[in-house]
Amino acid sequence: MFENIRMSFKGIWSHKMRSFLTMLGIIIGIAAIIAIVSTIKGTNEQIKENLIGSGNNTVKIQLNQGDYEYEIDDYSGIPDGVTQISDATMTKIGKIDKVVSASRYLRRTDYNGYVYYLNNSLSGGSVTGVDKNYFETLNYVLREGRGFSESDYDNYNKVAVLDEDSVETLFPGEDPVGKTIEINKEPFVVIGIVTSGTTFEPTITSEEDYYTYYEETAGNVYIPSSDWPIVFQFDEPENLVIQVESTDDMTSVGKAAADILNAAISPADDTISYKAEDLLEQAKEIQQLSESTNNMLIWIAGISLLVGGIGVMNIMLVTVTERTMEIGLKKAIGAKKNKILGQFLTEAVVLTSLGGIIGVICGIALAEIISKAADMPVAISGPAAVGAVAFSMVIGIVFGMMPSYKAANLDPIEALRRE
Amino acid sequence: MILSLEHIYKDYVQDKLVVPVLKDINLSVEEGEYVAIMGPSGSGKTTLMNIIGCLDHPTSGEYILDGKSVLGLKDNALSDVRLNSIGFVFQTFQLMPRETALENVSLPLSYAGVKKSEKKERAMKALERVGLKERALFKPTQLSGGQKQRVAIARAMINNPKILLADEPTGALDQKSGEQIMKLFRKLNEEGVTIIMITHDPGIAKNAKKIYYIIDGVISEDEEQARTTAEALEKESAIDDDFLIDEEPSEESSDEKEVTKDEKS
Repeated sequence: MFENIRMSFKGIWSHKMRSFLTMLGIIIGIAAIIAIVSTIKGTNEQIKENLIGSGNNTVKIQLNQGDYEYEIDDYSGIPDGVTQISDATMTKIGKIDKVVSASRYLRRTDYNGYVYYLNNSLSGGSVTGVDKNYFETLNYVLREGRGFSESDYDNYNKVAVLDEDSVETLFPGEDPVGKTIEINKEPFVVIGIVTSGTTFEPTITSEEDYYTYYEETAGNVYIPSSDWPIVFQFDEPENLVIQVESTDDMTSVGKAAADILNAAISPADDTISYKAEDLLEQAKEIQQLSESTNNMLIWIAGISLLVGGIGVMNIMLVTVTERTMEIGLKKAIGAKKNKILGQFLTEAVVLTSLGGIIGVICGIALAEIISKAADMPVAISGPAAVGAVAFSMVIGIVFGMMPSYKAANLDPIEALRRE
Repeated sequence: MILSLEHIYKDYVQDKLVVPVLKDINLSVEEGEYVAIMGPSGSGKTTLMNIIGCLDHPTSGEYILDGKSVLGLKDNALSDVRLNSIGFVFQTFQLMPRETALENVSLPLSYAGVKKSEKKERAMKALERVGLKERALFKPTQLSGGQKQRVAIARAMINNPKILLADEPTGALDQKSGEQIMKLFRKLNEEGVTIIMITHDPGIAKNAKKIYYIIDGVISEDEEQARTTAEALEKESAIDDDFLIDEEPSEESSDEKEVTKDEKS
């Protein structure tokens, strides 16, 4: 085997130009595939990052009606049979494997102009009633002022914390801390501003992206959950947010928590249930969309590989003809058919593998150029590179088989006679 | 007896015409013999050598090599026979041009599955045997014709075959190199190697201990007898004029070349 590889390199080296031109088809095909795969992977990683937020690892479990979040407003009330999440349920959820922390919250989207500062409205944003764990669970950090204290909860203090987006909407050019805002006709004093711990901005490059990530950019006003009945109603259903250890745990933990929550409620409307907002799943759906278009490109690159493979076959046939005498001699001195077959097959595989390796290097270079020139995210995939080289080996075997078989079956008398 | 050919016939089919090349060849060679087979171009001597070398199958007859019939053997078994029992030396040396003398000599060992370290050692010894130890790392292009043929002989001898088959071993060499090769053959024969040499050159043939003559596919120790038998057979076949046969020419499609090549050489 080693001997065959050594001889193959010798043979390839003795026809440098010819070997290079033969490899070119494989090189172009593999380079194209690597470049495309790298671009797909880069885009996918960006989608995942946009949706999930890097290093945040939080999963929301919301009360859904059918496929949509159950939203309470002035017209639709509290659904029958849905109680608030009890402390006992929270203990159970805290015991789920991989859960770091969990927090209950109440939320209303501000379609109706609940929140005002002077004439500025937070229309499109939301009001969130949070428990003591909320900011910690979501990795929010205080940028200014203070957060909610025990006494704020105990004394029903009408205080609010804003996030950066709501500051921009309600207080353009002003410092909000200490100012009073109006939430559903009740005055609340702004005591602090929170910001996401991991500074993350979704990369928005198109209108579609904007709608996909819209929620991330809307403003939020937070109040202690104990204040909720002051502005809205008692016993509104709560949602849950859980921080898990890693991104990959989000789906499983989310499902487990939703099951526990659903066991605790008995809604009259059976389309109402808790569902984990599976960002990972959403990311995958968007990824699939971009992948299906790029898969077409891979097919096109595959045709180049096919053409390259035929080129290899052609050159191997020429090589067999050129080396007829050598084959005849080898058979005369006792080489079995499979030795000859192995020798030529090895040569074909070495040729295509070499092309594959060069192709991978070119593909990585090409991907880097694309990322620089077209400002597209690119991620080099290790398995794809290994796969590409392995695939080029397979091409060598497939297209080298026919010429090698021809060589192995040459009649030694015939072969020796040719000069 | 190391080999015996009994009633060997070989016909080539050419355009539906049966061309008999070997006619009732009976030949036995004892172990340690040094035999020359002499004959003019087109007499069938290369065909005979191919049959002896297990490269070609006779149309009919029996061939016993080292006590075993080889005619019924499959391709792989025949490869083993060639690998272990027969060493080939060709007129045009047939060395791998890109490989060194040492690599050329060790080539059969890789087919015999010999370990790498042992391979080099044995190849070195074989080169020493033909007096070319110093040229081990030279490539064929850096060697003279005589040296190339000695490398080829070293390669033929590396698996210690019982029989050395040589087809015009001096045909491409000047007289002095040719004599050196003949000296080497004598030495090998004295060491117990059976040598069968095919040549058209009487000067070379006389080196052998026994000379067979082959004329028009008929073999005999007596040149005159071979000729008269051949002529008699020729007349006989002329009487049954047409040699049309029913079967399609298949495996033997290239046999025309066989004859023309021999005419050239």
